[in-house]
Amino acid sequence: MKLAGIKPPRHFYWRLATNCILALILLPLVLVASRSFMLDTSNLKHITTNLLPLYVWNTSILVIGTSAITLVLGVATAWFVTVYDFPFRKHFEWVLILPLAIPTFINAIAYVGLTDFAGPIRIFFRWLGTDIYLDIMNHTGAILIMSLVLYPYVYVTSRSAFLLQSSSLMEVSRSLGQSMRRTFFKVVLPLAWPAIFAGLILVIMEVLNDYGVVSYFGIPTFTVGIFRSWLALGDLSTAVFLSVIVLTFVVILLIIEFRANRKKRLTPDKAEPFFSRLKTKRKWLLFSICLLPVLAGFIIPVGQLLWWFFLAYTHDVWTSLFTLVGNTAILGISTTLIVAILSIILVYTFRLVKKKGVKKTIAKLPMLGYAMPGAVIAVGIVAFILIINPDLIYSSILALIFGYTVRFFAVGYGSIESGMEKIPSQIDDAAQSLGSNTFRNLIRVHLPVLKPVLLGALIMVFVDVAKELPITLILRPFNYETLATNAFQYAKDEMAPRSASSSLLIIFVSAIPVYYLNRILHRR
Amino acid sequence: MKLSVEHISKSFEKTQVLKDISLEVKKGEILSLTGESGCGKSTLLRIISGLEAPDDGSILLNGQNITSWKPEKRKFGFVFQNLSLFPHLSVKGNIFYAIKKKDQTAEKLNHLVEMTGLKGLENRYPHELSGGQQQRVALARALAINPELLILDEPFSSLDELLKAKLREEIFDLLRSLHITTILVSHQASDAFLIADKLVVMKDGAIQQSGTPSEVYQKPISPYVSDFFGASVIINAKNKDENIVETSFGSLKIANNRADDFQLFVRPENIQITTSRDFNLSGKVLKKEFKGPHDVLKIGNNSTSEFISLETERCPHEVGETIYLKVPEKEVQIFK
Repeated sequence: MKLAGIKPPRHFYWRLATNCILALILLPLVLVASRSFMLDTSNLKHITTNLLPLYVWNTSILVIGTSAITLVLGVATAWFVTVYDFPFRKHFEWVLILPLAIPTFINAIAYVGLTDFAGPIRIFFRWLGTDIYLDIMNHTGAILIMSLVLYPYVYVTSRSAFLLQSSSLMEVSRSLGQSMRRTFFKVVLPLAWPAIFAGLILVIMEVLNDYGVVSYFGIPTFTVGIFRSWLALGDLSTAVFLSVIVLTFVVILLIIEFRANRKKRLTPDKAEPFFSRLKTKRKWLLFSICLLPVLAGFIIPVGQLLWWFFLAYTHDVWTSLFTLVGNTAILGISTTLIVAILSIILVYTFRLVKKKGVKKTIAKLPMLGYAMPGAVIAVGIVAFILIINPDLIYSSILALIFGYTVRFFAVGYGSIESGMEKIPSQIDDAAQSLGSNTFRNLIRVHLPVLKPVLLGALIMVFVDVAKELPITLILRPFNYETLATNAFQYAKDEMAPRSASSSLLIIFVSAIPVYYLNRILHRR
Repeated sequence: MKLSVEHISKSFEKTQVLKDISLEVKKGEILSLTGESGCGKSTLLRIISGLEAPDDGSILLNGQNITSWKPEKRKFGFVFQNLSLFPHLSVKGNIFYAIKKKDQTAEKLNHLVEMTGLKGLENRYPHELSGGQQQRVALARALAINPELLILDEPFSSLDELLKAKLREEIFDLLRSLHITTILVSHQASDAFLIADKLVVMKDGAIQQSGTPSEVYQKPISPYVSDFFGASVIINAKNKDENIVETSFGSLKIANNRADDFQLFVRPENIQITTSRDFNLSGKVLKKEFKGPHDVLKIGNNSTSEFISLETERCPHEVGETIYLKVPEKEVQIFK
């Protein structure tokens, strides 16, 4: 027998590395899915009859309510900013994205502070000689609070869709006698729908992922159920069961999105170059409509946090902040580096191995992590660690970074992938014809070109880690505090003013990618 | 129906794109707006249709001032250069886009698709149609609203030459038979000649000349207009004697009372190559180019660096020969 005839396939090491990375990233999800076949059925009856309806009900209300509000807010503001001319329009383009910098649970903390007994609203009414009782710790409150900081997802995707639409479609509709309003509903909206829907899916994923708001407000959703069964009761089986249900829902959503995108019909026309914005008599109305979400979703909560910060200010704020920043930075930087390196290997391998059909699907797989609620990923990682060694303490910095990597891999991978696509493949051929090997090409040719994209991707991953709550709460080592957990803990302990410094710092860091998002919007 | 454009001016930022434009279209008339790209013709169309507001001037429809009307109120059928079919709607959906539900009858659809040659394609989507078919849908959609005025912006620019010729003839026949008032914008002279009752030539945001196609062709008022509509021979000249004009190729008998330098213009098909010297131009054939149906001669002489580029039928003369050109006085235009 001659074995020498068998040659390893081209780019063997790249392929090997890629397969390992894919396996690692998808492992927690696969574990959660496979575990569902080995459920411990003893608790199952209790859960399905008593808890499940409650989880389904609460989660559905939040998802539906938040979807409706973010849809209206996001699409309307995007439409006004794109088409009409009104005061400060240019500034609204990016200011409208700012609320995205506030994590949902921090917004909740701020609003609870605003409306409680010692908050400015009730102080004001008492000053008027009356008192009102405002309870926002319920479904309506949760929906509003989440919508106010999540609508930018819809805003960003709708706006880029509106910008890409040919203005002559709108003009032709008007010249045929249709008003702006009818044109919007008959032409603009149907054409932009796939993009708007993609933004809406991000909102829904964030709502499913949320643990901070719902646990603070005492609304038992799926995430709360997963937390309770694992952290309070140590019941992995139930946690997995609940995770599988959420996972199924997310997969259905992704399939719907995939189909919506596939149906997206191509517009052959290019956007018209000269596009004068429409003058309107109601320009101050449009101004107010756009100001409202910025005010309620950014300025007011940040104001409240600043007020608290000065209220609770002591010199030792800085010492505790120092540790928190250190912890957060270590986690953020490690995750960021790992995501960057793994993404580059993956993206580069898919570039080298040019297989159309399979590649397209496999290349999208690592995106799955971002769609999964953090609690589900955390449960998967716990399950993984317990399989390796049941005696191991599952909560560790390593486990945390693993969790973050799975969840935020898509953020880095996505932008690096699209950056790589813009490098023409002839460059590879040219470099290779000069006798350079694939690794050298990557270092000498692709990475330098990718540098700006890479930087943007790294910042976005870092910010996501800094904001993350559910994975951190489940997988962090005992007494290990990050900015996010610190803010959350103080709020839960009714010491909200002391959470202000951590919250403000998170918001400040998170505002950086807003700049990048805005730049992407302008690259049309 | 009568549309009057009166003293329209428009600037974008600091560049003035339209300068005091006035024109008029009468019922059933087909007006062709031509000029090189960037001359402001598209902006003028957008102002007429209400998509852009003029800085100055007004648009009158049957004497009524409609300058401030929104485009949706004017209901001028506008066929855009890029066609702008709604990609999410079928052919039927596109044609019926602006038609009220109760008026969306099979009869109306049938009439429109038959007229525009789209029979059998009603349920196709724009991306499933050829360029020519898309063109027809755009036209059918504009005709469906029974517009008082039809506006066609470079309607054939996206088609290849062969398809264009065929479709153009068909569409022009249709427009003629419908007696529909039309403004056609084109940067191609041949479109204008084929269909226009009236021609308006624009340059740098101003009207250079307007008139019937043959007026504009035979009696252009400037080198820009003459070159735009075909080959032209332009020769520098000055007055010599009464009714005698001198050029570097010889003298011509032309009534003229200008004293200073000017230019003579004549269409090449009006120039005859002869053997007689009298009051004819003469020159040497410097170059002879084969251009398919005709030859192009480059004619010059030793006394000048100027030369005449003459498009002519098969020419028996060869390079180096001296030839004489007969230029009939009535065909000559004088540019200052």
